[in-house]
Amino acid sequence: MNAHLIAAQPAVLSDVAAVLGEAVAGLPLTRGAAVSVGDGAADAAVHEFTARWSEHLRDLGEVMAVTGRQARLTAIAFRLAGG
Amino acid sequence: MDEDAGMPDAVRRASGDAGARAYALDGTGRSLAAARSGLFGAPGTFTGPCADRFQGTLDGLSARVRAARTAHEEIAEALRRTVVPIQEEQRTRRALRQAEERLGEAERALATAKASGPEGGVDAAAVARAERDVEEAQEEVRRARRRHEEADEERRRAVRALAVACRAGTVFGPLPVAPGMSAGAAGAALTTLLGPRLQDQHSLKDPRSLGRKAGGRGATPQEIRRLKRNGMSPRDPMFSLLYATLKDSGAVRQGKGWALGYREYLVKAGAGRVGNRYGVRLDAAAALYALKFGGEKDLRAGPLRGKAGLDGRIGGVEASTENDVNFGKDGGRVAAGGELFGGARVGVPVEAELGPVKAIAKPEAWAGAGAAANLDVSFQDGKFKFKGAAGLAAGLGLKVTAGGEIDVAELAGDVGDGIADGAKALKGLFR
Repeated sequence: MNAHLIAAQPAVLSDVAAVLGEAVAGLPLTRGAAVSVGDGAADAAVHEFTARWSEHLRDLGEVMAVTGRQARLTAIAFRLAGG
Repeated sequence: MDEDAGMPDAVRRASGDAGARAYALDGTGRSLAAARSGLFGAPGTFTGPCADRFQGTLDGLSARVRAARTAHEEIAEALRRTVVPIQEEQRTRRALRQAEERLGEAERALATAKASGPEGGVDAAAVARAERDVEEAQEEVRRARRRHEEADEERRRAVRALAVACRAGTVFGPLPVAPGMSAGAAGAALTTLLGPRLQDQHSLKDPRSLGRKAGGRGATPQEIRRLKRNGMSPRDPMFSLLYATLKDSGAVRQGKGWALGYREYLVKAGAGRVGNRYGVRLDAAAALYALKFGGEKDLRAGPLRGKAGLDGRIGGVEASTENDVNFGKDGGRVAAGGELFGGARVGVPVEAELGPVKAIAKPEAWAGAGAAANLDVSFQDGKFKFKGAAGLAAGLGLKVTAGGEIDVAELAGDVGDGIADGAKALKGLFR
């Protein structure tokens, strides 16, 4: 990696952080109302699906937020290194 | 008023919610793709070990978001597919109740006619009329009951399919790790589901369940309640599903219906139980093309519905195999075959549907070298499906795919209604 590349990257990394922030904001984390199709097993399966995915999407959102923060910190580090 | 009268609207709303979540996830996926192309789109924009870590995380996040979108789309579709069967079951249930009420009225009228006539005597003509009314009402009840039983079965089938889709849709790959947080985050998405849902969690939390015996002996009452809630039995095997999937696709430049520098790969392998089925599956595919284009259009002419499209892949290679054997109480599938091709190919997929019967065909012209042979036969959700393909090219060649789908339940229903109508017409002739 040369000095020219390092100097060029901070802006891109800052953009990445901003885009990741948008991506986190766009994640559908709210759960819809419980629905029944008149069958206990199917109702439980739908509930399970919604609950597990909500949890998984929250975890993905956290990873995105941390990655965005890392991109911002890396941009600062590159700015310092690149002058 | 039925207790579950509002159910179809609620299910339709839930389907819309799941579709909206899929749409939102599509937007998130696009944001991630934008972030990735901003960093790595231009050659040399961002290189080195740090770049690799960011790239790995963004790729992992994109894959998980795409999987989430697909799962939510499938559940939205599965929910939507239950709406009509639920409505139909409710409608036939109401019709049955009305028919039973009419029968009750006809029986009361008959009793009245038998009990009293003009000037204390019995009016034979009135009794004969009332008896005929009772017979017709009984026939109507029988017909309504049969229709309700069929509709109820269809509803149960759609609901079972929804439950299976939900269970299959909650198979997650590993969570990507943010750059710098932990090493070794990348890798194939290998997921192992042990035991019926929730039981594995419970057995982790409660060491008492480690003493479980074969055949469900030793399960705690709490476990049994959890299993029942999930439509399973303690006799279900602990080993449920071993499943791995790895896939990706992309292009150097793409638009609606075309892609330049198109690439994709997919590996899907599984062994064990999915829904009510047990089986083994191995699908693998890889493709690389300079240009890929295609599109399709819906067609409709009276009761005939269809689709016609175009599928072209120019300047590339691809290899694929699809193998699946699974069987259960509600059906099964046997699929085997593979394809190897290099060159250019253009196909015209067409599809026509008339009532319970659907036919598909795809003739393809090949320029290059390759061979293909596939066979896929399945029975699922009351539908019998079959598809076969064969192709060969050395220079110029051809591949032909043909298949069909028969909704056995719907076809049997149509035939039954036809027989009932015919019998009614015949009865009318002799009256």
